[in-house]
Amino acid sequence: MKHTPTSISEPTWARRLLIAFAFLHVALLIMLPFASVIAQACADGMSTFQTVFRSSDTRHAIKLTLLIALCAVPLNVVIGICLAWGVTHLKLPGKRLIMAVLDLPFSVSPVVVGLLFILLLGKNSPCGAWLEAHGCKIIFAFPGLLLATLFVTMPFVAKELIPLMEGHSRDEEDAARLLGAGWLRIFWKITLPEIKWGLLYGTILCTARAMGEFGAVAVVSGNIRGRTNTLPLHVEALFQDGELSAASAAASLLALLGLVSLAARTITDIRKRKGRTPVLPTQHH
Amino acid sequence: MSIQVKDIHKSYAGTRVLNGISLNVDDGELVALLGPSGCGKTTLLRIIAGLEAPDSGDVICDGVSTQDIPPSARRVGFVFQHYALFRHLSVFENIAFGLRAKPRAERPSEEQIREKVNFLLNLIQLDWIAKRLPSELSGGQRQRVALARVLAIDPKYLLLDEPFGALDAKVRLELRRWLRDRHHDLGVTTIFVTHDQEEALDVADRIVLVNNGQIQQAGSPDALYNHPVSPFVCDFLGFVNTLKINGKEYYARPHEIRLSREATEQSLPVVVRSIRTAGQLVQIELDDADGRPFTAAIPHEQFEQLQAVPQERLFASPIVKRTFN
Repeated sequence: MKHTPTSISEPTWARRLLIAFAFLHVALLIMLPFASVIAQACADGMSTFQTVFRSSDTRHAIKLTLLIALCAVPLNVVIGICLAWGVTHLKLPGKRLIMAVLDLPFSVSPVVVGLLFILLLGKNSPCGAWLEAHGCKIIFAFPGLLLATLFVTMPFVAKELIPLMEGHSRDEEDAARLLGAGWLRIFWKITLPEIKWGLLYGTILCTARAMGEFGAVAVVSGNIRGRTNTLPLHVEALFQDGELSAASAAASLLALLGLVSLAARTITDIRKRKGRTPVLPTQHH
Repeated sequence: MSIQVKDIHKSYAGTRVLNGISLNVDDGELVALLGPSGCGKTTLLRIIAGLEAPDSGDVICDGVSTQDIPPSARRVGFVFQHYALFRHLSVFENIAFGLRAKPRAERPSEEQIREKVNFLLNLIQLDWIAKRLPSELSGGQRQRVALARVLAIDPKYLLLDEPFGALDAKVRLELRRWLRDRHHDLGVTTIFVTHDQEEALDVADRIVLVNNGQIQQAGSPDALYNHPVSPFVCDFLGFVNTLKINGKEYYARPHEIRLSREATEQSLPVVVRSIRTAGQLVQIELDDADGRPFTAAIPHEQFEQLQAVPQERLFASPIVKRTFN
């Protein structure tokens, strides 16, 4: 392991000032709003929580959010693995294009993504009209929400796996192939153990985003309470109604999910780093 | 199994790596593919294994073209330069991998697998590390595990990529002997890649010297060492001096030079620079009339008769009149 040399060129007070500034920054921008959300939710005692989580709209929003995550995450895991495998193992002519497309959801505003789906599949588009005529409603319905979430969360698994698959030597897979293993066995026994922590990390990132996504989902949802409102949209709706403590109570559930995923991410990130320590040929007995 | 390599061509991104390689390896032979790094020898080995496809040409095993046989069905024992052991599997499971990967109908029972793996662990004299992970082994141990792993599938032939490259000098020598002995016991046709001429001379039945994607010379170690067909072969297989006598260039290894006090028709006046008597032969550094340095190595008895001292003038002549024109 490399040790970063401690710099001794800066005077102590400067270092302390910088550290203090960083802490202040974190406190003001993250901890303070986070605490105020919880405080706001608890302002009227636990009763707010009870009312909010008993309301059928909230329950539906939670269920919808979980359902979307349950559909979008496994799909994106499979798509992500396939994409990463393809990009690293095949001599594809459009490799750069795929990499650029993978960056698209990060670089384009989610609202634009939502709008794009409306333009493509909305009532006024030929495609959407045809689908609607055949009894298939995409926009302002569950398929639209799922599509928007899928698009926005698509890169997480693939982006996490590509450097991992690129980094590790292909010799082990070649060795397995020459020992008679088929592609499925090679993937299951050789590739997967190699990438498992990265895969888990990407899956957690993907899940967190799938449950927290607002922009793209907001556009395609149409905000029909009790039908197409996800949890983040529900928080927004409660807020717009002026029910500040109710919104905060619902928001604290989202915040809790965020904390859990942060913890899971930290743990898997540590495991991932450990797992990546290369086995170098030693020269000693 | 005999292997016939027929007129293989291979380019990467416009760069010729292999340029018409043809080669016959007989059943049970131990062949070294020798050449400087980047000469295409590893690519050739990977093509024989089926890991790369040639642009043109074919690899024929026992008279059957391997063109349409996928690598997983070729039953090739390929040992990678850095062994490519499965790092999350124990030594036992690494060796058992090929047996477990067999199609269900041919797959041996758990009992048979254990028996075979234990037999191989005994063969490589490492039965006591069956439960360890590859990261817990030394370089030499990993090498032997990699070999046992491919022997488990009873390979038709063995392909070894720089088998001793990643080992230190002492372990390398031991393993060289060990590999040669195992080859004698098992009689499996074997091709190994190396850039070390000493290794090739010591281990192989036959050496194929490759440079710039072409075979420079193929033959027994003796043939390549003593009867090279070109200056490149001569130079690659060991230190060689060029002696300019009467306008002709003679290629002579240090032990192929005779020193005397009398001039002959084909001798070169030289000046002794330095003498080293420690070693099997006495090493004498010399300069010719133009100040070009070269080295002679003569037996101790001869040196005692000669009684040369530094700065003395002598005459050097090549024992073997080797020229390339």
